[in-house]
Amino acid sequence: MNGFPALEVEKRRTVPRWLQFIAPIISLVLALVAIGIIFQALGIDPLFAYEEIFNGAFGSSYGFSETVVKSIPLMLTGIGLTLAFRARFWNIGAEGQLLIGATCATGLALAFPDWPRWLIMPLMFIIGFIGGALWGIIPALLKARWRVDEVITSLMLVYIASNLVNYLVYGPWKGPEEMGFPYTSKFSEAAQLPRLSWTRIHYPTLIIGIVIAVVIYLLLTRTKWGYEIRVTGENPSAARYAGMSYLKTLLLVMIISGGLAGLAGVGEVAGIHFRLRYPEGISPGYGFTAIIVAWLARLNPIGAVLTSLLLGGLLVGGDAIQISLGLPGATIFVFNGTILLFVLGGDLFARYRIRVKSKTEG
Amino acid sequence: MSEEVIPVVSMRGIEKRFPGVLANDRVDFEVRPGEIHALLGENGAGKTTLMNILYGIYQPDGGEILIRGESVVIHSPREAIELGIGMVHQHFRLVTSHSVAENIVLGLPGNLFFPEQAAREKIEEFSDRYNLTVDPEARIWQLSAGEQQRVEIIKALYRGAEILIMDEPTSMLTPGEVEDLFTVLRRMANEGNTIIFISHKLDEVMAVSDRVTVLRQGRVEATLETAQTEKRELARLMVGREVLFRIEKNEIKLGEEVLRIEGLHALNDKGLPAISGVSLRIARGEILGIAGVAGNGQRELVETIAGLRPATGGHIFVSGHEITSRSPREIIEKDVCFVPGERLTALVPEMSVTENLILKTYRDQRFIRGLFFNTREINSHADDLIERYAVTTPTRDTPLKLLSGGNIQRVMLARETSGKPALLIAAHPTSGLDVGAIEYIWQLLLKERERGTAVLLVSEDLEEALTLSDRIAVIFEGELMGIVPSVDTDLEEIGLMMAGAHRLPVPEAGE
Amino acid sequence: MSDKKIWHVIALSLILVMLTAACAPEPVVETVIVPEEVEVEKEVAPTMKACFIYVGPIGDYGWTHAHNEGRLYVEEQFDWLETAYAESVVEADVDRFLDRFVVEEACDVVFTTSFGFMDGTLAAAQKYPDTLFFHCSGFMRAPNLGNYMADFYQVYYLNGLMAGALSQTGKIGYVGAHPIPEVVRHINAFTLGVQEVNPDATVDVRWLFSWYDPAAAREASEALIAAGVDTLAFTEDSPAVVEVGQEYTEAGTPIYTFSHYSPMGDFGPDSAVSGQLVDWGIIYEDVLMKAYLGVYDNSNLQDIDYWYLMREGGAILGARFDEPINPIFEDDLKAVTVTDAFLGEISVYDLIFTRIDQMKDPAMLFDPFSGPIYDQDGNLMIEAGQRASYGELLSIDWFVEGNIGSIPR
Repeated sequence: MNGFPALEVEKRRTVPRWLQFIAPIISLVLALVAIGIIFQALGIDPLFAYEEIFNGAFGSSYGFSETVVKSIPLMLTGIGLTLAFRARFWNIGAEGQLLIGATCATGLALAFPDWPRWLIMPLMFIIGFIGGALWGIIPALLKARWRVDEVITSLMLVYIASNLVNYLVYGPWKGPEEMGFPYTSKFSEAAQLPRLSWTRIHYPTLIIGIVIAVVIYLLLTRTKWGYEIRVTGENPSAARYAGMSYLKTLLLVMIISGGLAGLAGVGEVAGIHFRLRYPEGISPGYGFTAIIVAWLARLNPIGAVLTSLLLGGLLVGGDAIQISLGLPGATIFVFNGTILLFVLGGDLFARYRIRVKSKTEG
Repeated sequence: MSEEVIPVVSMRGIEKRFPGVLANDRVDFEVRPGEIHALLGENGAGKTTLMNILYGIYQPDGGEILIRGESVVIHSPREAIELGIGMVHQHFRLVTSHSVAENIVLGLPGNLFFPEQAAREKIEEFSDRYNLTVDPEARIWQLSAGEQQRVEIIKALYRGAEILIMDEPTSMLTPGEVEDLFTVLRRMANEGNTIIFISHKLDEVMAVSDRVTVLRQGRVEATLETAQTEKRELARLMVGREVLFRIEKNEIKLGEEVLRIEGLHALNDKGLPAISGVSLRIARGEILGIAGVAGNGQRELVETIAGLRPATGGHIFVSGHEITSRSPREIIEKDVCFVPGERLTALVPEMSVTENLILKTYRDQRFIRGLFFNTREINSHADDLIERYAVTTPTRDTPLKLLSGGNIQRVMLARETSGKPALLIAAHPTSGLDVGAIEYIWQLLLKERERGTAVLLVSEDLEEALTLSDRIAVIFEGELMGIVPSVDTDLEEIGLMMAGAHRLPVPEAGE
Repeated sequence: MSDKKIWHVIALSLILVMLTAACAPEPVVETVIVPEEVEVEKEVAPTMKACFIYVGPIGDYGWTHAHNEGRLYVEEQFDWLETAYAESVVEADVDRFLDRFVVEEACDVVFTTSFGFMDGTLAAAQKYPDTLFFHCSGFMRAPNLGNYMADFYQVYYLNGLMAGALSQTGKIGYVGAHPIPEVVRHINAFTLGVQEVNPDATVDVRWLFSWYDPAAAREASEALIAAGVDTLAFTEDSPAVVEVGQEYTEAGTPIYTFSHYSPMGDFGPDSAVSGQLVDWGIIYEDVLMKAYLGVYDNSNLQDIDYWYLMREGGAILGARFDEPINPIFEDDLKAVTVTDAFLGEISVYDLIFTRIDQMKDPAMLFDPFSGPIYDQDGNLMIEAGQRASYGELLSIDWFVEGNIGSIPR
């Protein structure tokens, strides 16, 4: 054993700021190296693959516009999740809150096809927010009142939301002119969000997302409500001791978190599809991908804007390698999973340090 | 002992730096074979860091370690164990759902099957030799703190430890268990083992150690033969100045009644009765001490008053307002301040000193401007408290967890007493603190008393209760056995009450 | 006619000549001119790129698997053809893949193989008027958007005849994917077959709300068996139902199953009676050949509707390609007889092959959806002497008599 370097792990007393910032970046690089090894094993030059992904996602104005399109729902949902996770409330059910937001907005758009845009559009966002928020506070109430684990309840509510959407599009909301297919009728022109030039970027939702990121950041760091959320997350017993209401804090957090996911749903139906369709048609798991967005952002709402672009780019770039390299469609899931794993692992290494020491004596 | 004896442990010029802190500054530390060597110092003096280096948990930034005269580098606890060094941590590291025997052999190499017979024989051997009685079959969760500590000691011995580091071994023990522990340690030393005993309690050091090394701010102040020193000198070395062991307590005229409790009942976390029919009153400018053996309902009593635990019967009044089972916030608004025994239930270690200082007052209008916090006001409030309460912290934005235990407690007391409370509930305010910090806190509590605050003091340290309180209420199994004045007390009578063997008629009930 | 078109016609004739040449036992006179003409042809119309968007994984052993087989077939057939594909495309993402295939991959023809891609395909067709689009199983139209479908309802009807003859309990189960017209049509055809043999038999329908969910399909099958069902047909893109049938059969409870989309006979040698097989290859071959030759261009796809049935060879009976009926069930099918108004008393086995001939006849002598047909509530939906029209079949949203369960509405 003599002469071999020994690895030691010890806990850092503090995590320096630069490290907090750089740890996710290093994790990302390491994840890319690990995935590169997989590519190599598949006989694909990893550098070429990454170039393809990057070009696919950011290299052309088309690719970039699609990346932005993808990032909009991820951003809104991810921002909401940073808040929930700060309060240590594990809202795994953003997907369901998103679907309910989409459903509520659709209901409004279908009920009032004659209303002008200035009236229907804001109302769709408002009712979508309310819908997502109501779906979000169910697990919060169950947790605060009866200590029911929110991971289970919020996840189960995804399936309920999903079945509700199925019921509606196959049943009462099925568009009469859709020849029996599970689509609602198309929204009126007024209920369709404007898009940026030739792209599919429904920019009103994007602007809402960016503004909300700043608002939530200020809420979290500069207000007493944000303070209550942070104390509740760091030490619930101290929050109780200080007279903070656990129920009230959770409700606030989940109204915002669920509501923002609801807004994301509104953006998808009003900006992309112009109708409600079955759940897989509305969201390819944005609510779950947003969990990665929030974590990568280190639960910073403004960071979530950037990480949503990154994840959006990965998803879009993933299509590129699937098509041009003929990789299986599941590749991109392996990709995302690996990244999440490394980011969580990187978190550990930010809090602990590894020292390499060679034995000089003994 | 003469100088020719080769020290079993010799640490020379040890240095250890943490960000912003020099935890060990050229520390020289020597332990002779077969002695009980106390390592004395205030919290944050660097005792535990030094021992973590010896046990291979930390690597020193400088210096040298010799074990039995041989220079070694200890990379890990595993290597420390190979060198015959064992450590019993302050917080036990046992798997609570497993049996004693399982815990003892856990993690040992080469056991595909559980070596039950061998383990049991060994455990019995140690039990006999050192009086370390413990049932190998018992599950850890069934054991008292003292018994768990014995398991930790056997675990170290089983691994061949000849040098045993005990980190604050008495902090979790009852007085009786402390005596038992000392007996065990003395026997082990007689058998040729070496014991390093980390402590900040002078009485214990005087009682059990052969020699003592005093650390202060990371530096060695002195190494002395215990028999040739005395408490006062050790205290001075430890704190760096003279320490008063007598507290001047002024006569106070009692004011009007602040706290009145009538026939209070409450349950513990398991849903069993923890307080049964407690009645008491505290007036302005009075300290009422609650004395009793730990776990007799003290925690439940203070939590019920603070609104953290619902009352199942009875009434609590503060300044004439009923607060029974009200929310913590309503009770806070009645100027009730609370220093809980478990400090972490009232502090947020990850957050800054400033943010911890406003935990109770963040709703105040003066801290809020429009929708946002008034950061300037909050910062100046924090600076003010840090100065007034002499909290040692690099900046007001430093995370609380980086402060020493005494400074953390100062932050808590600054927060709880700066708002001029009507009632101050202080549970174990000095537990785990060193002499300097204890003195400061005692002074602070007396100052509150002089200001006219009603103080409810819970302490397991009878001396502390007697020193500070005007009256002593003794609690046993959730009932008050009696309330007596603290001057001219009959210690024997209090002892009997604490054991539940004696009960005084409760005068307050009829008043 | 443009110059380009003339060239395409020449090229078509040349290819036909070459094909004839390849098949012909001896060279034909025209082949003499082939070499130099081929040179010219290669320079003018070099290659064509066809792209496929799949809803499921290629390995699903159902719908997507079958489409991919078709893609591989045409790739083999035409050396001027290049293909690309994307699998497991979530329906919310189809627009992006369409854009990518057109813009980045420069595809000439794009096939979208799920009804859920319909909206996106129409939007893409409007956005990229120079590209040809073909959407499978939908109904939306554009000058450069055609529709195609190989439909199984005739085969389902034949499966229904077998199910009606074999079921001992008269309780038959159906595991349905999505309650859309296509699946409803198939269930109805199946039930019509069942009731022709056994008017008292019922078909109990369970919905999965998913095209590919082996776990849910297995659960639904087991639930149906627990409810007394001994025969199972399904629409789901995995062999899960057949596997369940085989397991129960091996354990001593015979369950008859009908394979779906891909040859699943090997998953249920003792259970799979027959099933439906598809040959997308012949549709893709026809589409691409015509697109290559310029027969199809971006102005004339408005009314192009491929509706391949048994006659065209798009739909094939069997759980294996060379075996319409699992031989171990032949005797049982021969033993059961029915009385038909025109054919008289006839064994089910013979009836099946008679019906195949009738349906393959250019005059379409028989169609399962011939009146009188009643819905579940006893309303007369198709009058005696009438057949369901193509439009009615495409939008059918009611269950025929004999179905248990409902279509969500």
